[in-house]
Amino acid sequence: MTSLAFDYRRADSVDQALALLAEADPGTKVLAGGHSLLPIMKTRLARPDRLIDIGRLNELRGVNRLGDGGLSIGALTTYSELLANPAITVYGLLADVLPTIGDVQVRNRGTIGGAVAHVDPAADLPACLLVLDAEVVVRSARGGRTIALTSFFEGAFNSVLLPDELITEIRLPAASGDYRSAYRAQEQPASGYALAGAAVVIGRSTGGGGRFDRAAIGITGVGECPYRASAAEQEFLSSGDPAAAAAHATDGVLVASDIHADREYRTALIRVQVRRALEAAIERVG
Amino acid sequence: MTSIGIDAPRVDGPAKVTGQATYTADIVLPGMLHAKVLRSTLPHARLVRIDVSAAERELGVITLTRDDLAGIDPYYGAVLKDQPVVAIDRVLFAGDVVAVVAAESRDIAEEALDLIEVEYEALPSVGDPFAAQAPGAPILHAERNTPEVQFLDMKSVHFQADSNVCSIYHVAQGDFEAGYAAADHKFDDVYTVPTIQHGHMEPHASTAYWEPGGKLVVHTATQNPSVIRTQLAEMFSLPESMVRVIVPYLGGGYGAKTYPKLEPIVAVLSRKAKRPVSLVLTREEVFMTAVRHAASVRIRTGINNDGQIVARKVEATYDTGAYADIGPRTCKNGGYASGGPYRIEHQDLTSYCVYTNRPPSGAFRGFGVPQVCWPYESQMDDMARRLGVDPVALRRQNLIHEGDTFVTGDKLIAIGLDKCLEEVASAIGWKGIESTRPMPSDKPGFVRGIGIAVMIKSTMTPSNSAASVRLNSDGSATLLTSSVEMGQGPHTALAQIVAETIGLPLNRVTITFPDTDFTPYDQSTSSSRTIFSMGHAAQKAGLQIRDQLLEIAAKQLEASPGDLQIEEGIIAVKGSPDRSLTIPQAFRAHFGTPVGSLFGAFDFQTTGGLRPEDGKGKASAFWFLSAAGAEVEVDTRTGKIRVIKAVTVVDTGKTINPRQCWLQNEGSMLTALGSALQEEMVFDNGQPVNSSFLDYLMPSMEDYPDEFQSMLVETPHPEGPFGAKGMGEAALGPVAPAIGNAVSNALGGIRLRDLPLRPERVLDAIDAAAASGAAASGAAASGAAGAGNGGEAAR
Repeated sequence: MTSLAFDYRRADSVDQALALLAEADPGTKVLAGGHSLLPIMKTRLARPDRLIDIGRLNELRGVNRLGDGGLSIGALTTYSELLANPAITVYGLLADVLPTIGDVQVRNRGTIGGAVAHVDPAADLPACLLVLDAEVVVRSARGGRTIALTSFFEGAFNSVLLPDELITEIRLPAASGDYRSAYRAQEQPASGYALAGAAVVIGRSTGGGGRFDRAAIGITGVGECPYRASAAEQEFLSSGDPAAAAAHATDGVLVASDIHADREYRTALIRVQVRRALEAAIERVG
Repeated sequence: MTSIGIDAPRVDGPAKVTGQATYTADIVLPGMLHAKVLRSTLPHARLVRIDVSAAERELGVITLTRDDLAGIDPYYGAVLKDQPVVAIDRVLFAGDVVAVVAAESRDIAEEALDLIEVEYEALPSVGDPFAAQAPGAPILHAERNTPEVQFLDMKSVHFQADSNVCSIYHVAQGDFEAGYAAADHKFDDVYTVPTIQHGHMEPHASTAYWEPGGKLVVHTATQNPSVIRTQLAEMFSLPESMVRVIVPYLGGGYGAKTYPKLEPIVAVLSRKAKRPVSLVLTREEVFMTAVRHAASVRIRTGINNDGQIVARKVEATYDTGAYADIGPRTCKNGGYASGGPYRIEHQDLTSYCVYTNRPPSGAFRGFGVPQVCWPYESQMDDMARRLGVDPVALRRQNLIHEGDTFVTGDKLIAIGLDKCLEEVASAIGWKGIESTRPMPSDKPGFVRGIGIAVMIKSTMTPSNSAASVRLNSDGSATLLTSSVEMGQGPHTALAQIVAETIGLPLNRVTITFPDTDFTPYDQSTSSSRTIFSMGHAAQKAGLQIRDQLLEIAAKQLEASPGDLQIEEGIIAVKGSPDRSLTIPQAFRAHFGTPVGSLFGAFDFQTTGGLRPEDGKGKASAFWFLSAAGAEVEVDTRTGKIRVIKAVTVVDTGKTINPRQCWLQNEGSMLTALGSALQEEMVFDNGQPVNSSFLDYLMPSMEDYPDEFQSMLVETPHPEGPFGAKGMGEAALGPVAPAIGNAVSNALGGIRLRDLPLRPERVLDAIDAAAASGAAASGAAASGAAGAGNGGEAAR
């Protein structure tokens, strides 16, 4: 199949993009790298009547260190550009996961803002950003706001982003102290998307007596959108036991079921991934 | 020999790697229209009304519906003419052809599809062969054309009336009931394989036009141009000479491009349009056009304490989908091979080819045999475990040998299966019974195991292949052949045979593409028969030219033909290289001037066929024999299997081109790997739900085992050129059971009987075994063979 006909506008500045979005209707979609949007347009799962192409807005590209040591990542920064940036090496999780996303072509086109805006239920990166406590900076012709990623996703391919808003940057707080991370996923072999993926960051404060007092567990491929498994985090903080924590990986979540993994198997699978990710993070030095 | 047994580089290699090779979809003709197909949205329905007027009026397209079939026989089919060009009264599967549109561009054609109004009356549908045979099931083909036995081997197939059972094949020897009753141990299991895809890169594509003189010309991606010519000639009541079928390179076939697919559609539509019409399928449509038979196989085997298999009964039920295509032959060939390559005194083998409301199943590399090899080779290991013996030794004890009589009555010749088994056991590192125990992995929660399997398969018999060789006065030669180059390498290997036979340098031999106006009849490029059959014909044709050259040179050199040799295009007296002629000199001697050409031609028919009354006779001109070994690692917490090492050994008879044989085997192995671990077409209420490579799991480079090796042994066949047999499909069958046996060994005897071995199933089997107390890991549990759906029947 080929895409249905649509109207195409190319924005030459962020302000112009915001002006176009201000008059947008629900049939308008923003086109960034296009590697997620175009395939679903081709299969007609998505049928936008207008695309606003922001692909040439270089002002949305690049990584800057913030005053507090955190990072500001332009929404149009590609996976490849992120990987090549020395600033991300302190976030071991990103350094681990980015090279495994898609293939070279996908990493050259896929953008961090696009990954957040698209809210694919099985994408790898959103789960990682969740455990890194990322924030989403959005702008519209009306002004701007900053949203914690933990309250950004609303469901499959759905977020709190309003039709006139554009994601302009993703912010990561400084990685400090005893930071250990790992990502474990079982992939759907054809697409490479996660059937069940777990990103974890655990940490110990200095003088904390050796107990882990920080645990963030982000899960993808399992719920209708990537989520933080807070019950599992609490269990890990209290018992320090990866297997016990993993048992709570899907608490309160309606686990997805499809031809590649039914609900029961997916539930079993994510527990294994959470356990293995926690075990790997514990083993990891630094 | 200078041209045989060498890694001659592929003659089609440079064109393909530079993107210059021409495929059917590349052919653009003046005035050509592009077609799109409107497909049924329901698995079974009566076609109440179809209205194309809006599409014709608004977009000016030309349409093909059931109203355009006057004056032709609208039905086609290789064995039974049960498939209409477009739906006439009913649609029989979701994806069936309802109407076709031809337009100036594909976009316009696609737009026009939305303007066609179709009214269906939904009918109850049958989704599998057992539902199709249930009382009250709708009969899909109540009126069945009497089969025209164009293929002699089909005489042994029993077509059924008033039933969804299309055909049955049965063969037996001894007395199964008595043998089974007396056996020390009895095994009774059911194994299944799902519907899968061929996965050829090039989609189906055909282009047709009519010449002013009334000749139909078709450019098409087919594996059997001669069959297409016959079928179209019958459809339009034309002499075969008025139908011309031309075949360029194929981007893979694997059986999916055998027998009519799109050719009837473009032929009928171009007749109406009076312009060339091209139809190229999308991937989603390829999924609806040809699939591999799903099968359910019940296998009962009696074996004695001494390891002798005494009785086997197999009932193999194949899902042939909505139309017969070549299904009755696929099921017949699977049927007589279902007992395996073993000496078993009492055998009773039956295969059922059953219609369902699913896409038509047809030929698929392995042709009905992987569906039965999976059961018999899995059960073989279960029997060895029960008896507490080495499964390799058990096979060795029961294997067929040279000179044995097969269940079909064939006297077996050129049987090197014992060599295949020994080499594969050595290559996989088989150490006797200890190799049936789990091997530790360095990762917690992971176990490893190794397994082996063997296979026997027939080739289409009888069949015809004709070749014509022309030698030009400059010493170059052309082989006129209808063999199709679909990546398997006949253009290279047939050139090697002709060059060696005449005594020419390899680069002086050129192979034609099939064009039924010029190239002689060939039954099919399938069944791995090209090197054996076309190679034989080419060799005989080449020998005629060689004899003519020797005759001419003998006069000129004043020697007897028997004292001459031809090497690298030089005809010389043996031992006296100064007494020689070049080929241009020979032409000058013969014709007075270096013009003209020498011809050789030969039509090779293999003999055989099976009797209707007992299914016996001669099933196969030669037999494919192979063995596979696999080493796997199983993640016992997720059920995920990784194949670490895969090896196969194939008996080629004589290897014409080692590198191409290895590559053929590797292709077979990867196909088998996909079918073993992940491939399955899924339907929901008759609707295919994973008709895309995003959801249908073909193996990719990531699934390639760390060690991947194919080996060749040679047991020469008297009729094969230089002793060569076919080999293209041989490595496929045993790979899945070798993986299954490796998994079983890794898991202490847990047996999975349903393909693919998806992680979910593996984990369920591990959990079930743990719950029932059987060993899931650790020490070998010889009594654990029963974990599954039947296993050892201790009765």
